Amino acid sequence: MFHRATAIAQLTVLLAQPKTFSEWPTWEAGGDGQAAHFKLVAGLSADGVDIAGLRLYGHVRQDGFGEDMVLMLHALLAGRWRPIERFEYLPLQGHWNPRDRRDFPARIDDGVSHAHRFADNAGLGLSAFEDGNLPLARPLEAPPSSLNDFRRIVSEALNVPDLNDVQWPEWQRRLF
Amino acid sequence: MAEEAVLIDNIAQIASDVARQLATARVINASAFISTPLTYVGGAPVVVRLDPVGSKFFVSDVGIGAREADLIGGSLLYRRIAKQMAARFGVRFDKDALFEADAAQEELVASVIAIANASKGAVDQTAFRLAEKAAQDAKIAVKERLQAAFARELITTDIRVKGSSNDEWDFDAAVKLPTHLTLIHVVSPAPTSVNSAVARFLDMSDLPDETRPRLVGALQDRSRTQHVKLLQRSANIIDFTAAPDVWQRAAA
Repeated sequence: MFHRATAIAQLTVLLAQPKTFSEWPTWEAGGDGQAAHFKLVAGLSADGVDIAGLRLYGHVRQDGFGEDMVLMLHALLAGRWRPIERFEYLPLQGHWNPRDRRDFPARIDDGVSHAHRFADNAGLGLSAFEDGNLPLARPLEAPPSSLNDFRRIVSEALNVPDLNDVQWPEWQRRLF
Repeated sequence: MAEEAVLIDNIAQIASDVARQLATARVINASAFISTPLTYVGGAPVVVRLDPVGSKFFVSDVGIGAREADLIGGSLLYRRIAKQMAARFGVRFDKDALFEADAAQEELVASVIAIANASKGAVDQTAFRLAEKAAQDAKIAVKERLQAAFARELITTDIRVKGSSNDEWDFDAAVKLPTHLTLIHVVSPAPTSVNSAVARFLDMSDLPDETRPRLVGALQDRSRTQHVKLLQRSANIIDFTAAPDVWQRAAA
């Protein structure tokens, strides 16, 4: 778990460090009907040592055909997993930035791939992670051309090169 | 003034334009998705899906509320709250999705409003409960920090004391030292937390010398806390994460 006083500094260092998975991740099916989804949760390690309280989280709807995918870093803060940095591919939901942040687009349209970057949100303090759910987001500057391209962008941003080798859920193979 | 007059003349049209843009709709793989003006914690809009089933419609939040709650670490809590929200709005909840299975076309507006509000309400409540839990965790953390600085038998948590106004105030902890009592209160950056801390510190500091306790305010996040100087007028202010010797000096 990260200590509140040092969490932002620690996470800044960890984000910049090359990381791999502590166990090779697989997508697990969950939910029913329209809420049926695949979810991925994987611990991370750096220099051969598992990083306590840091994991990669993925979610995609089963009937979304690869669209509406979320890949993010989760950190254990104050006893609970909190979003630290999040990337969304062709999401059903866009995003509204806070009204007093004119340096960010007021609105990101539904279907526009975007990122809630750690560096942007860290400026707001710990509350952006603890109860704010990453309120600041920007569209991805170079919109991903495919799901694989999205994965490449995320793997570079989070510094997890092995993410590029993680297989998509079973239904994806024929589509991408 | 001329510009204002033009706006006044066109206010009906302007308002109509704004109202029309509050929600958007798109169709993906024969399902319709309505992006509503409601937003979840963090700023993502609440989206509701419509699918024709026979002559009726299946209306659902597609489990997005459940996913939003999962993102903030409140998955289990959400399921319990979503059931209550479904009952409140007269819709159904099953596992992850809030839905209405057989809405007639003329009922769709009411149905979308109900699903969207139930989904947002459930996520908001989940976030609120998580924040409450964090506050409780903070109280436990106070005890841990005090135990690093003082003997256990000197520490009391969650105490209520009377101020000079005769009002009673809750403090997170107290340390009974040989010469005096020290009251400790944790202050979060929320304005309500700062204001209530100022009020209790002032009321306690107005007590006569012989009964006046020492007061310590422990800041959870100094950089985001406003009016620290106001707090400093009546209490010793330290960072919550300060070392044990700092807690000892502040309480002495």
